[in-house]
Amino acid sequence: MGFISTARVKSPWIMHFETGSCNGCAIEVFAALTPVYDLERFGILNTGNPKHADIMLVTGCVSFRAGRVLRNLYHQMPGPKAVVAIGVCALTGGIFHDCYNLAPGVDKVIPVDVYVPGCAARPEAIIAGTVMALDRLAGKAGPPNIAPGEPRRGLEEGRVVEIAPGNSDK
Amino acid sequence: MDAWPIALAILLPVATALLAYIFRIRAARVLAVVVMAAGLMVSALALAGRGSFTYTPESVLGLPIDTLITILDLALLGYLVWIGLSMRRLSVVLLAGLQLAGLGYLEFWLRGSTPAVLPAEPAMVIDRLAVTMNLIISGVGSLVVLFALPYMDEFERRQKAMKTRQPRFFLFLLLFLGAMNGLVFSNNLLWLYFFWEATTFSSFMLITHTGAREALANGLRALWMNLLGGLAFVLALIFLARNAHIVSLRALAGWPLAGWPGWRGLPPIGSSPDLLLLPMGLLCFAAFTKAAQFPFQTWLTGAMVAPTPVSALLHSSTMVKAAVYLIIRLAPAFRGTTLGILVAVIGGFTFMAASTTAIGQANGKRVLAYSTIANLGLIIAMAGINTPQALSAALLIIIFHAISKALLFICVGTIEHGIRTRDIEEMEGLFYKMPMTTIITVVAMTSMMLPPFGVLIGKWLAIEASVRFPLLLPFVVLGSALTVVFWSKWLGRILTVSYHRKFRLEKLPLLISASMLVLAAAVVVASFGIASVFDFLAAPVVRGQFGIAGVVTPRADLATGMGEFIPWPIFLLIVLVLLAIPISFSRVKPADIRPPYLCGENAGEKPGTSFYSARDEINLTRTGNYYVTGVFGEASINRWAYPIAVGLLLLMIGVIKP
Amino acid sequence: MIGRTIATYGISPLWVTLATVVAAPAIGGLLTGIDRKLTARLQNRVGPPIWQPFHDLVKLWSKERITVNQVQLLYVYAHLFLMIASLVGLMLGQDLLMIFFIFAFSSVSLILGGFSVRSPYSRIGSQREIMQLMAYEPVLVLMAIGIYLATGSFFVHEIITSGNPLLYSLPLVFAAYAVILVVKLRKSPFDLSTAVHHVHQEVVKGLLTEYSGPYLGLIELANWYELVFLLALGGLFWATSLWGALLAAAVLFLFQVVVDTVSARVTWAWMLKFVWTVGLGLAAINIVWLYM
Repeated sequence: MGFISTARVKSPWIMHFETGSCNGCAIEVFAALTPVYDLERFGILNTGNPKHADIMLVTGCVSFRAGRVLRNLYHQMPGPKAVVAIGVCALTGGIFHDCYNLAPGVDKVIPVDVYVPGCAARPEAIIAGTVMALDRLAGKAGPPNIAPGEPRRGLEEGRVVEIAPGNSDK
Repeated sequence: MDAWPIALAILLPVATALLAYIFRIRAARVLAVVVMAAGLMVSALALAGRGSFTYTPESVLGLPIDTLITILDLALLGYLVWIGLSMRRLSVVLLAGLQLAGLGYLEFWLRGSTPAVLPAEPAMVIDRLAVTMNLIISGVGSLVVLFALPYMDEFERRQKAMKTRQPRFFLFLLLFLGAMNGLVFSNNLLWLYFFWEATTFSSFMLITHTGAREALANGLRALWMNLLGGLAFVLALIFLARNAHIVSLRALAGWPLAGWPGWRGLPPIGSSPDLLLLPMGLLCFAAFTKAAQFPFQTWLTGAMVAPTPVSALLHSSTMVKAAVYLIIRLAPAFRGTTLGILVAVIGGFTFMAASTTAIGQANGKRVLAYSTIANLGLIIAMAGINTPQALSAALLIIIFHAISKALLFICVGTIEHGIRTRDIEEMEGLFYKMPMTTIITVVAMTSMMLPPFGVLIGKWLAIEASVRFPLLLPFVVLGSALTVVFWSKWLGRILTVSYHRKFRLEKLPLLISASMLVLAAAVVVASFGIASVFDFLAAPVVRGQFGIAGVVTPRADLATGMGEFIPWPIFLLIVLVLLAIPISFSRVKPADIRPPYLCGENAGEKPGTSFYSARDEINLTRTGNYYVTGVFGEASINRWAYPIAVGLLLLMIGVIKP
Repeated sequence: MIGRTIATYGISPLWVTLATVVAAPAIGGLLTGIDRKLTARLQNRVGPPIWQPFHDLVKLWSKERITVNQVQLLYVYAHLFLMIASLVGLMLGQDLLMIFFIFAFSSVSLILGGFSVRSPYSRIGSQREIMQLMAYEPVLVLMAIGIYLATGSFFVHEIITSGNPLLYSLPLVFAAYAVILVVKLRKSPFDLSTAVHHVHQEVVKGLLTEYSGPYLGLIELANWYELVFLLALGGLFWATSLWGALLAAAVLFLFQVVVDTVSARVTWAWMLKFVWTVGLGLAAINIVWLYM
């Protein structure tokens, strides 16, 4: 591994964004950040600011409104950057899957590198997912997973354009 | 005749003033003022090129000058009484009337009854201090007057004036310039007093220029405060003439109150030195009112209602400098006395209190006013302790403050016309609207508070000079720290800028941009060559009084023996940083631009400033500056500043009473 | 004066400058790493390796250059260059007051950088940083004056060679300096304008919010220079012996680490009151001693 890749892998700064639903996974992310797990051992810092972050941890079912925010935040992160979707809601919408106001899954809005399943996901799983996302920072990962924004029920009010990937720089 | 520069410096502005008043054509006025500016600069340079000399003009147009000045003086005071009567302001009538009586007593009674009131002292002394002041008045003053030409056109367009009042405006503005030049050349105290009152008078006429209610009220306040000082001046004159037979500044300043061995003046007949403390104190009091020291600061802040050239000329670079000039002239006499220390403390207190008040001000011109008051306070403090370094500091601050502050006023005036407000909170985004003005304003503000510019070097000298004066020290230390606070707040506000692909320089009238650029260049060049400026203008003054300069300039820097200030490395760094500007502008591509972080809710046409709030409404973000008016507001400051300031003045009575 | 410096150190000022510019980031980065490790140990954690700051810096420099406007990075350069200049000035033994003014210029550059963007977080951070400047600046100037009164010179090289350690005559000023060190390093309880390192956050990231990638890296680098500068200034209090200076600096360093760990953030008004009463008060009392 090169000099720069090493530095990137050794210093992943994260930010966490909760897009809706029950906050259970969000609580687990906070749990992972406590001194019990001491993520600073790996150089991981929680920044709370997309401009300083390398990895975004996303939890929750993505409501349209949160999807808009999510896209802005992703846009404001400097590359190289990685996204970890945490919990079934963030993966597929979970039990909210067919709701009228949702984009079912983070990957409908922004590219996702690692999926961490669970309801709620355990801190250990979250940490493991974050470590897997380091491959993206090291430049070893393949193309990220993007699910095309297919028109869905409840999306007929002109909202589709807002959340479809590829329009994110508008 | 070698006195032509003096005649030019005093009479040319007066003649131009009358011409501008009589011939009410704009083109004629512009031409006359431009010619006058050139003439003043030539005369100032001619004077600067010569050594010290004295000069006593006998007559002008066949009239003996002494008589002429007496007549003008009485007429001026009579007119002021009339102003007081017509405005129904008792204080003005009383103060001007008392001065009139005092002056009549002095001129007719004392002159007739006591022999040899006038010792053989020259009426005018042109030494390096006078030359320095003359350079400031003629150089900076001329530029401000040139700026005033286009400014007043725009000003009247804004005011929707039916009939132009510019001839009247330029009459008083130019009369004022002539009076200031006369003031700094005068050695005869009666002449000095006449010019002193003339500046008070023109200042009043210019503050009340618009005739608005607020302008009249503030003008009258300025008038009575300055007349109070004038009254003290007359009392000092009477006292000096009666008891000490002194009517010359040089003789007065040369009399050592503390028995200082370096004295070189004429011994007054039959007077004991301590008797001179009273007139000295009265003259200092007069200077305090004119320099708007606490508790008289309100006249200067109120004077900011006047058109900006007035503020620039009268209330920053010249008129208020007359006051500190007088104190510097008197300083050798009270060096080492309790009076000296007290003067220093009063000045130092004003420096701190005014700097503190400036933090709470959101009005740009008021910030400038308080900063002016603060700097005058510091100069007075330095004159009060009057060591070689302190005097050097005072002179450097006078020179650099005049340039920087005139530039700042010009900038604020231009900004006010550009964005129609002088509120600092409204100046956000100025960098995009008026890039050139903003950059020059930034230079000017930086030069008021940061190295390597002249005012800061003056403050540095001031701190090193006041180390041995524990009573003054806390004021100087606190004041200089607080100065940075209000400047950086304002600076931050005007430098805020969103991404724009292109910045277009604004179009300004030629005279405005020319005066701005010349002054900005003067700030930078003079600060870079501060060693030469010091050697040429300040060092001879200090050496004349102490025999040593106190500050040496070994390698384009200033060294005091206890410390040294080297400006060039800082200039080098600034140039390095500035070189990054073109690189940055060419390198940053639209694709690199991200809007500021607004929790991801960026919205609308301006994603940098507007955001989605509840119910998807689009709102604008606004972030105000901290003003903390509960602590730094005028009302809160005055609650403790007035009692202390008045107390200090009362203390002075105890010090000077015979 | 440079000539006398050469005599003092026996080496050319150019070498001193070069050595300072090169060595200071190494020392500063390592100290920052030790700081983070110590904090972690005080919190009963393992903490990052002590060279973690260097990883962070390299990573930041390797990131995409994104910015909010074209002028943002000028302030970073000004901040960094002037910070280096104040440190070099200190190492060359220049006038302490001049060094403090350059140091203030450096702080003002960073403040202006925070102001230069339309981000509310960054600007609130800048406002608070101004309040911090207002708090510590008079104490710094008083410290320079105290040192002058004790040694008779503002020149650092003359202060170093003046005989007795300054700690004998200026113990209270040293205490006041310890207080403002915490303010200047933006450590708890005074991490108002932006919280440096660790997991602290304040108004997102205060005046650093809008800096990202390489520009943030440059600010980080400036922070290291600043740390070295401030500790060297602390070392001045016992400059007669190298070990003494190191001890004084180490005491200050440990002091701010411990204070940072055990205290919670205060408001800026509280900070101002505290620094102006305790900090200024201690310094002023000590200076009154010197007049007596």
